[in-house]
Amino acid sequence: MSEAIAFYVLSGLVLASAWSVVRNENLFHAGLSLILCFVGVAGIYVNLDAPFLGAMQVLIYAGAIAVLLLFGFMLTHDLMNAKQERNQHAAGIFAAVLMALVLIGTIAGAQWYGSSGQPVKFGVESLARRYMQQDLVSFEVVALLLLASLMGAVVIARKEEGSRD
Amino acid sequence: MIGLPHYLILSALLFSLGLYGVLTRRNAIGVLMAVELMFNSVNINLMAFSHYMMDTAGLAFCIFVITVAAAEVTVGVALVLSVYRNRNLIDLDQVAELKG
Amino acid sequence: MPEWVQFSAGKHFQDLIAHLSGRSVPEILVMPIMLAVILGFICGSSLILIWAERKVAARIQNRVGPMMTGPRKLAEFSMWTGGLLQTAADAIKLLVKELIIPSKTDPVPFIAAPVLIVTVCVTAFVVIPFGPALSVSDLNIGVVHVVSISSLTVLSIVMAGWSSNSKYSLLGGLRSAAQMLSYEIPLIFALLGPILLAGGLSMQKMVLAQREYGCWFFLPSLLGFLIYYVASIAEVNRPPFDIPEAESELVAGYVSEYSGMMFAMFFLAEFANMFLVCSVAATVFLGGWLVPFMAVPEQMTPGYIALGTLVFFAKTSFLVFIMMWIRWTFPRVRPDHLMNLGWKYLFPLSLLNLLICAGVAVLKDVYKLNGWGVSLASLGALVFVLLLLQVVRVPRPTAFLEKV
Repeated sequence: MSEAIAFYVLSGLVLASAWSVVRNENLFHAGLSLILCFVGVAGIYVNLDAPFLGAMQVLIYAGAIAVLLLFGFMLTHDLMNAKQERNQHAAGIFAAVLMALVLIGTIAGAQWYGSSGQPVKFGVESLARRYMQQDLVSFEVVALLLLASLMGAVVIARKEEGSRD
Repeated sequence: MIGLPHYLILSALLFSLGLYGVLTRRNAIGVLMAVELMFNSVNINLMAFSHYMMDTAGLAFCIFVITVAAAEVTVGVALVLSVYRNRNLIDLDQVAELKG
Repeated sequence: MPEWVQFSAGKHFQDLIAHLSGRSVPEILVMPIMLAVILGFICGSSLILIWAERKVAARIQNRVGPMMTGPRKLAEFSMWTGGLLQTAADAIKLLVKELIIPSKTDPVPFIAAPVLIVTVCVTAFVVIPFGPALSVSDLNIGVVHVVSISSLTVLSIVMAGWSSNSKYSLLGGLRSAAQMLSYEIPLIFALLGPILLAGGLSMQKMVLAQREYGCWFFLPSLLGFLIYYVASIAEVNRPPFDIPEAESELVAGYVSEYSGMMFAMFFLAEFANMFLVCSVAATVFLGGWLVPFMAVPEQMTPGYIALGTLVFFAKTSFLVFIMMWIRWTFPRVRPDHLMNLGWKYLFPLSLLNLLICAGVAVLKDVYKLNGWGVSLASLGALVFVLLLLQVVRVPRPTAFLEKV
């Protein structure tokens, strides 16, 4: 029962803030809604018995990625001139509605197995064991990817020698 | 009773909203934000399957997706800053040299 | 292992009410009441901390500090008992001042920012074990909870900086975002060492693991403790890392446009955050509520709870005092030096700390070393690596940037 209430409240929060992310004229407000959406999704994870993933979501998405996006926004805009225009409005609505209809139709029409059993709660230990045994190679590849993106970002964003300012 | 389909429908709606944002935003940062919405919807999907099918695979993939998203945003924001610094543009429609 | 230390304060509260009035408190009310208690605790402790900060500053600068507000008889006794009610008076002054919202601001984020920073602080305090069986809720992911929730503080600062529509606020907010994002990384990596030694993330489990090792984790992970402490000073924007609100350059940084109550909330959160990082350091590295030279009883005893709480606050206050001491001793760091320190020194050293802790944990499992053996091994490894770095000339990790 409490799970259902939490689910509906959090879904409402996530969808409303996501709507604001894509529709808000003021891009700074859209960024703040994005953070609200991330926190809502973290709540969904906690509802799914994955508190560690929820904490990671808050730490990485809300605390780092969103702040980085806001940072990029602040560096590329004049103060308080945050109004945005948009294009391809009809095509966007058409594609999104089509996508939603196809997905929801598929989900509603499919027969789901495995959803009747008692869900289990994963600890951090099972995750760690998985990363250190089955998924070790992918784990290392992701680590390499992070290193590459770190260096790539530094090289791309740094100022050229003798450029202005 | 909340089951797997509820979470899947939430994720489908979130994905569609993200798609709408990607298609209609002109600002590069706005597009990146909408892409993050789509990443999140995929994560909800993975975690719901992981929870209801009693397998840690979804959880492990979620963390991979979060990591890749972090890498993507770092490089994305760096690219936006670099384009902005060199050409004073933030509008994606005007950065179209690679168009065929 | 004494299981009773993991009872939550909420359960104590329910038992107490049941004992006193014979009525049970519904489960849904416990958490809000506990959060209200934390909020009250934060306000009270901040009042004391602000008074203490002014007294420590005064002592270091050979002054007496605030003396006039408070009982006169006590003030005549010594400088440390004068002006006891000074911060209470200041707080009342701030509360009754007019709330000014400048007309060109972006009102929603402007008002939400101080609310968010206090909320984040209260939520982070939920897992702190103030004593045995005295954390509001001993979550399984305790340490990660504190770190992830307090990473939202930077958001509030960015919101305040942007929505104030003033260049001082904006520059303060940008500097602060950069600083906090950079220092979060060494902070988390420094905490990973003790997590590895304890083999769990819950705060009470960290304390119990230190009891099991027989030594506090600041010995096997000395480097981690120092890195955590330095990074947390930067994380709470205190001098010498107070670049976001450097008075002489940026008026007051992101709080420039705030007044009255909203300013008071930022001020409150600053001191509460200082207390938070120090209490995490005391729990993770200094044994939390473990009383030195005294075994933890197998059954719950009120005496041990009281003593443990006292010890916890003593350890935390000691760390807070050192932060104040540092504030009035060192000059402000330059922004580029700050970034250099974070990325080129603290971050690689925190990786080294993680490596040493991993090795030490293996040593403990394989050779059944006790806590002191583990500490000696880890300190030896640390000294060895640092000497090696002196002998072998390591190319600077960022050298490739100068050639590109």
